[in-house]
Amino acid sequence: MLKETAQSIDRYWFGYGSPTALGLLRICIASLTVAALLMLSINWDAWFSERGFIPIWLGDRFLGSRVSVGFGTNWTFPRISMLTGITDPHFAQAFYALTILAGILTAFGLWTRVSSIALALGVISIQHRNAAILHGGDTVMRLGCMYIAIASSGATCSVDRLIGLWKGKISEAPVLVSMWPQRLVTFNLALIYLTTTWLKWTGGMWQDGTATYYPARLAEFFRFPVPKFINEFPFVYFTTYGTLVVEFSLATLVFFRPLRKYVLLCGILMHAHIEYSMNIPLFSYLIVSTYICFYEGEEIAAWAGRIGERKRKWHINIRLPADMRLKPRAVGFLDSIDPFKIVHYLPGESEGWSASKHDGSSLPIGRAIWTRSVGSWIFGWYPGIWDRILQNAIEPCAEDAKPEPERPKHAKANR
Amino acid sequence: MPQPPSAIKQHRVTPGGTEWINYWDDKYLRTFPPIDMYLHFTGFWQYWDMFAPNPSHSDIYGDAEVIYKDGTVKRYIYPRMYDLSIPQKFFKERYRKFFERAGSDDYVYLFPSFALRVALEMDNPANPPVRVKMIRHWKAVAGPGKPQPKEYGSYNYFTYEVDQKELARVRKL
Repeated sequence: MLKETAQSIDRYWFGYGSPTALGLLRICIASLTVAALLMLSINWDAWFSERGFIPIWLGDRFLGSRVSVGFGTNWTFPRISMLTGITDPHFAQAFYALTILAGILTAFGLWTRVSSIALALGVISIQHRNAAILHGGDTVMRLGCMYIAIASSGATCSVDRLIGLWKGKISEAPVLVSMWPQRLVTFNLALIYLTTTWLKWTGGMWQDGTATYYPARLAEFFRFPVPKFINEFPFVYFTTYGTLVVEFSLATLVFFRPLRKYVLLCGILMHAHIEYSMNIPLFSYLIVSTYICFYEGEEIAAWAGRIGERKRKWHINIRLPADMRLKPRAVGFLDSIDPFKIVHYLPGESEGWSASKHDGSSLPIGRAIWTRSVGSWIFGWYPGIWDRILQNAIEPCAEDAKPEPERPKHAKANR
Repeated sequence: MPQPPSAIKQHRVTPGGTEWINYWDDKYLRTFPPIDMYLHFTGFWQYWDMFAPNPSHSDIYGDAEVIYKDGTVKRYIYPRMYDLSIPQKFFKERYRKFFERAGSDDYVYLFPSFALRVALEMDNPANPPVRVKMIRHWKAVAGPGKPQPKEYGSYNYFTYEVDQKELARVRKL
């Protein structure tokens, strides 16, 4: 039994599975990181220059630029920071701009391995440069960037995959990657909530149910108006103890499949309230985006397929020119940009391409495909691109024509 | 992990129940060099003490008085979130976060640099600032059932005699 348990744990942590969750995490974290860096860049001079509030020597003192090795020695080790000792503002600004560029490339999933590592190094360096302005969202952002750098986050939902499929360098079969980075994200998240719940419980205000009364009255945090009763008793007891219960659940019960979606939904509602009522930019978005890692990639793909099945009125049929068929690599490409499986490619009888909705009405080909293929939204709007893609996607049917290749089947969802 | 209560750290009280976990974590893991080194070197360090152990119950903001060479006095308005529009406060939240530290007596070593930046932002090379008085405005949130105070208290927590050489140096940067 011990051996079976050990094998089960090993499979859970180091088994192989779909990287879809990691791909979606990559898109969310990288996009939010770019937004955060762009927001910071507005006051770049104040925060990162030698004439700012925190020149580099003071930033080093605040965080401690070196880490002690200990064991009775005086040896120290530097923190990772590409900005150590850099006082030239031009270099620092160029580094900042390159980090933002790395974030954009990572969000799109282009040259993902290099861009995600560059993004992680950039974010770590920028945060180590000036830690005096960091809040909890920045920590989530830094950890998220590091996790997507060490994970195979570019294996799916990425331009890299699309290019690989189009060129025939990647098999269209579902990709399988080791799951340990995704597990790390979930356990780090659980650690966050466990630690914060534990720390809160040591405070008297959380124990007596009055804690949420006070931040609601801090003018510096005011954002959008909230109904008065929410910040008054007895509702304050509900928000205070509710916060503790939800956070503790996000550290424990979230791993229990039957309760997972309810716990995550409570977490989303809790963070939505924080985002709405308090001015803590991007924190809620960042932490909620990591919730995706509690779902297996196969579950996400199956969920998308079920949504597509239900939305029958959005389905379209794309008819190929007569006696033409899709090239095998094009099948994989077009399939991968349509996660909801609502675009169907069928043999046609007319000279050119045609597109028709479920009610038989026709519509322009390019618009029909790219509006429904979520994966093509980053390039599908470009004028003329669909003509080129579709031209290169087809080949004449052989005389002994083989049936069209079947689309890869969805993985069965674990409910 | 949360730190154990000071009474436990000082061995005045024996830990009980889950307090043993905090005690061992603080004694053996928190400052275990390889773990500490790994976390701080790589950037995996993390603290999750938002609104913990108790949320802040003081509303605080800051500004400054800048005294010039000819004796004139001007007020430096440090961005105060309450006075900004919703989009503005979204982008400038870093100022609030910075003042949470730079306006606190726990970070006295930040005060001179903070004041120097204020002098730079209010600078006039023909009539340079000679003194900057950093002011903290605060209002304690009254407990449940008690009337909330309307007025803020003010306190000059730091006065900086502007180093003119330093100001001239940063002026050129």
